[in-house]
Amino acid sequence: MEVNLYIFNSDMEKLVNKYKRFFAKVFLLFIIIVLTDQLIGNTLRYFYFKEDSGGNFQTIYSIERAKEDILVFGSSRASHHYVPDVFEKNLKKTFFNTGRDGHYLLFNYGVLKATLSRYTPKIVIFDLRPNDLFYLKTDYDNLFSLLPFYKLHPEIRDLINLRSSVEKIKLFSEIYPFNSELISVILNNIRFLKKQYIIRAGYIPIYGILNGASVNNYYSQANGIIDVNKINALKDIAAICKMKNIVLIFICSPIYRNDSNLKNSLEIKKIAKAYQSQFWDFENDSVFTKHPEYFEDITHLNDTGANIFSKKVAERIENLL
Amino acid sequence: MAFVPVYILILGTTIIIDYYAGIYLERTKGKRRRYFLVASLIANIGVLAIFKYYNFLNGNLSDFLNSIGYINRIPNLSILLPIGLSFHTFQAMSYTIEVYRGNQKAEYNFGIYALYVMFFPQLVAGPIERPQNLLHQFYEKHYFEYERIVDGLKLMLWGLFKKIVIADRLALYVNVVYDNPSEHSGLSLSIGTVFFAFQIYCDFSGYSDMAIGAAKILGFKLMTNFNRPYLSRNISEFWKRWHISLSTWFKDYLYLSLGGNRVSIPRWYFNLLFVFTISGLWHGANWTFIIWGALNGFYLVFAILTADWRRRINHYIYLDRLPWLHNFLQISITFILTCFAWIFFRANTSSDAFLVLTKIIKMNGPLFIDEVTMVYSLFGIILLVLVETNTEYFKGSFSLINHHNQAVRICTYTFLILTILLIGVIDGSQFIYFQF
Repeated sequence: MEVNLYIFNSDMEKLVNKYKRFFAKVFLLFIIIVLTDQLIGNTLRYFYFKEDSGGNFQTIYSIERAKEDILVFGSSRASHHYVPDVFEKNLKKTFFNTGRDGHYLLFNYGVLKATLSRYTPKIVIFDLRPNDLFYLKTDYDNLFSLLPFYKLHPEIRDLINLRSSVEKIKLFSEIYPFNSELISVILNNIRFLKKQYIIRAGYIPIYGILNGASVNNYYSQANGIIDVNKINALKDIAAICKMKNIVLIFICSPIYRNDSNLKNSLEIKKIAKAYQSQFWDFENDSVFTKHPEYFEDITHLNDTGANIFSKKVAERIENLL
Repeated sequence: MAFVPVYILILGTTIIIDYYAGIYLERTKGKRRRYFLVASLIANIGVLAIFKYYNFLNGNLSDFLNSIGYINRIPNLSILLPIGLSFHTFQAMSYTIEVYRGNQKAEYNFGIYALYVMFFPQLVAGPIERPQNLLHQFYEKHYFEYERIVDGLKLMLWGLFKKIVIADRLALYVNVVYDNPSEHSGLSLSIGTVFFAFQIYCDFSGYSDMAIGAAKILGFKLMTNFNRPYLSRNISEFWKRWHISLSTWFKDYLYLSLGGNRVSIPRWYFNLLFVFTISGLWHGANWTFIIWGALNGFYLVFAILTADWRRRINHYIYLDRLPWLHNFLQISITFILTCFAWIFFRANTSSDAFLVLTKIIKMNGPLFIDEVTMVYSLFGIILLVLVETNTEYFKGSFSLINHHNQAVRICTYTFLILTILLIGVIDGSQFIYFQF
C-alpha cells in the first residue's frame, strides 16, 4: 500500500512538473511577445507620425496640426473636388482639404471629432456621397485608419469600438493599430521612395476627361437600410459645430449620373434643418451633368470641373456669411 | 453567414436516424440490412439535397422550361445553407456505410455517436473523419502530455498564420479582380488566379491545421488533410495530397463502389469523370464547381491516355536522364493545370469563368497593381514555399519551429505571432470552405 502511494505521489509530482514546465514556458513566451510588441509598436508609432506624404499624412495633419479657417471633410470626392486656391481667393480665409480616398462618412466623422477637439475652424464643409447614409461594411472597416489615434484621442474611442466587439482587446497590442502600415511607413519616411503627387492643402487634382458617357439613372442602394450610427454621427457633427459656432455645410458634390437617393438626401436635409446648418445638393446639378468634360469618371470631377464647382460653393458661402 | 439556432434540429434529426440505423444494421441479418443503410443515406443526402441543391436544380429547371416556352411554377425555397453541412453529412454517412460493411461496430452510446458527428474542431470544415479512426478515441483516457500539447499549439499557430497572413491577404487582390473580371486585364487575372491557388490552399489547410492542432491538444488524432499538394508531379498525386479526407471518402465509398479501375477501360474513364464531377457538385450548387470537378476528372483520363506517349517523349528529349529538371517541369505543369481549374472554382458564374479564360489567353491590358497587398502576398507565398520545400525535400532539417535550440523556437513563435499582428488581415473574415 505504501509502495502504491509512493508511485501515485511520484506520478503526480511528474505531472505537476510537466504542468509547471509548460506554463513557465507559456509565460516566458508571453513576456517576450509583450515586450517585442511594445518595442515594434512604439517604433512604428514614431515613424508613422513622422510621415509627411500619402494618405496617412493627410489624416495626421488634419487631426494633429491643421489650424486653417476652412476645413473640408470627405472621401476621394472631397479630395478631388474642393480647390484651396479658389476658396482662399474668394473668401480670404485659409483652407485645408482633409478628404481621403476610400474613406467615408464614419471615418470622416472621427477625423472631424478629433480635429475639433483641438481647435475651432470657422467653416466646416462635410462632403457626403449620394448613398452615404446606407449601411456599408466598408465604412466600419475604414475606421481602421483611425486606430493610430485611439490612444491619443479618447473622443473617438467609442466610434472605433463600433468596428467589432473585440476591438478593445485587439488594441492591447501596440503593433495592431499599425497593422498593414509597415510599407506605408517605410515609403513615406524615405525621401526617394515617396510618391510624387501634386497636392496643395490636401487637394489632389486629376486631369482625365470622361468621354462618350451618358447620364445614367443609377439608384445605388435606393432601397438600402439607413444606418443609425451614421445618422447619429451626422447629428453629432451638427451639434458640435453648433456648440462651437462653426458654420457647417453638408454638401453632396456633383456626380455624372442621376443618383437621386431621396431617402439619403431627405435624412440629411432633416438633420441640417434641426441644427440650423446647411445642406447643398449638387448631385443632379445640370451645370455638371450636361458636361462630361468636367469629370474624370462618373463620380469624380477633374481639375476643370473642380475649379468651377469650388467657385460655385465659395460664392454661395460668401453670400451666406 | 447567419446563426439560426433551429438549424441544430437538422443535425439532431440526422444524428438520431444514423444512430438507430447503425444499431439496426448491426442487429439485422440478410437483405433487410440494406433498407436501414438506404434509409440513413436518404436522410443524409435528402438534407443535403433540400438545403444545398434544391434551388440550384429548380433554377436550372426554370431555365430549361423557359427555353422551350414554359414557365416553372415551383417556387424556390428561402433557406440558408447550414454551415459545414456537407462535412458532417459525409462523416455521418461514412459511419453507417462502415457499419453496413462490417468494418465498424455500431455505437450504442448516443452521446459518443453525437460527439463523433459534432466533434467541434472538425465539425464545420473537416477533416471528414472515419469511425474507425475517431470513435474509439472517445473511450480512451487522455493525459497531459507536454510534447503533444506543444505540437498541437504549433500546428494551430502555423494554421492561423497561413489563414490570416497569407490567405486573407491574397484574397484582397483575388476578390478585386475576380469580382469584376470585365474591368481587369489578362495579366491581372492570371496573377489573381495564381494568388487564388495559394489563397484557397492556405485558407483550407490553415483551417485543417488548426482543427488537427486543437484536437491534438485535447488528445485526439485526426487524419492529415493536406500534404504539400502543390509539389505534386501529376494530377493523380495532387488528389492524393489535396483534401485527403474528401478524396479518400469519394474513393472508398463511390469510386470503388462503381468498380474503380477493375472494370472495362471505358467504364474506368467514366468512373473517374463521374466521381470528380460529383466531387465538384459536393463543393457547391453551381455549374462552376461542376465544371471544375469534371475538368479534374478529364485531366486524370487524359494523363492515363497519354502516359506512354509522354514517357517516350521524355526519353527522346533526354528528360528522363535529368530527374531534377523532369521533377521541376512536372510540378510546374501540374500547378498550371490546377490553376487553370481553379478559374472555374473561383469565378462567380460560368460566364465569368469563360471571360477570365478569354482575357488570360489574349493577355493584354495593364496590370492592376495594389503595391501593399502584392508585397505582403509575395512575402507570404515565398515563406510558404520555403517551408513546404524544406518539409518535402529536406525532411524539415531547416525547420525553425521545430529547431533543437529552444531560443530559435521561441524566436520563431514570436516572429509568427508578431507577423500576424503586423501584416495579418485581422477583420474576422470567414473560411472559404465553411460555405460547403
